[in-house]
Amino acid sequence: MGPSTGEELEALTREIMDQPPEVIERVKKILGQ
Amino acid sequence: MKKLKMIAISFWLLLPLALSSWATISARAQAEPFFKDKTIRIVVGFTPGGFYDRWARLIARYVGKHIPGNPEIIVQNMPGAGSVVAANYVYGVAKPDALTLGMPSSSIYMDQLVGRREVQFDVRRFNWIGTQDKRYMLFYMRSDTPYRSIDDVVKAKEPPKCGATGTVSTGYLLARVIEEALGAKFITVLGYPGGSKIDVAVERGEVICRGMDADPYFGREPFVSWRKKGFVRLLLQTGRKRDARAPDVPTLDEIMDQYKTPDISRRAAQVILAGAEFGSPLFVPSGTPSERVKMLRAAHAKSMNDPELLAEAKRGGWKWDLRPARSLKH
Repeated sequence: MGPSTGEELEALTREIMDQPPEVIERVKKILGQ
Repeated sequence: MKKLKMIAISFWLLLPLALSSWATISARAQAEPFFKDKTIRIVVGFTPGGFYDRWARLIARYVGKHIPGNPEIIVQNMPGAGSVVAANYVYGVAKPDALTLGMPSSSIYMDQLVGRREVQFDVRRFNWIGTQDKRYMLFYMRSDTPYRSIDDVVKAKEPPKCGATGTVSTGYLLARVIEEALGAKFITVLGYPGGSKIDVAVERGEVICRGMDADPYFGREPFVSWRKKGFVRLLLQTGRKRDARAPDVPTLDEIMDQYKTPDISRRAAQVILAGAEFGSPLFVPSGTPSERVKMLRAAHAKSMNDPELLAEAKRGGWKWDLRPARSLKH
């Protein structure tokens, strides 16, 4: 358990969603998509 | 003519009084907090009784007193498609008036990232209010097997057989990440209806390992008894730092350093495991007035320090961890 603020989650969301296409493709491959 | 003159005089005499009354009413309306006499609904993307639901109900009992106007807070469960149904509803159907909050899965971003057709939201446009917890994972293995470390699994001729509920479950995802990042192999048996059924299968020897959230492992049966008997051992954990409850168990980051995992695999693993940071997150949709978002964020932050909430969380066996949110960058 450990709280995080809305601002911290927004920053993390941007970081995750702004990954380069090759990383996204690798994620899809790992998940078998 | 005389009558008209009287009406005109009366109008001008009464006008200041009318204006003054209007100004008083208007000022009172402006000073009245928006949330006064309102009801806020938290839409949880899972069924009652689970971890998400428990968190939503705990927050609902305390956050209202920290919001100006002290609104009533209720919880509504809207399960379906791993919380995509609830996220779609809060994002696209509910009014963006700050009276409907969503609590989706910690990995809701993954559904958008991999392009699931059901997704009708953009997580970049969520107004996150905050989260209460982090959900680091760990991986356990039966102690009476030859796999005493992740190294043993990597070198094994015969992959260990692990249990998982489905292809978006913690157990499945963690096994795939370990395979990708470290070159280990697992046979994952899918289809168990819940984690407790996997644990029973481990006791029977049908499967011998499982990836799961850390908190239940340290807080409830059968794990308490298992730990006393040494029935299983932990092979890794996914937190940034070693959990104080498992100081001898290496983190995935440490093992990836040891294996010199290529950057792309490491980043993909971090994206998949970043869900742990979101815990049980709360959001309101885009278009919600920014001053209300600020009020909700402030109230959430105050709730996290509310002595009564902390006491209830403690009574419920939830350990409070104030580690800051993890960044994907090292």
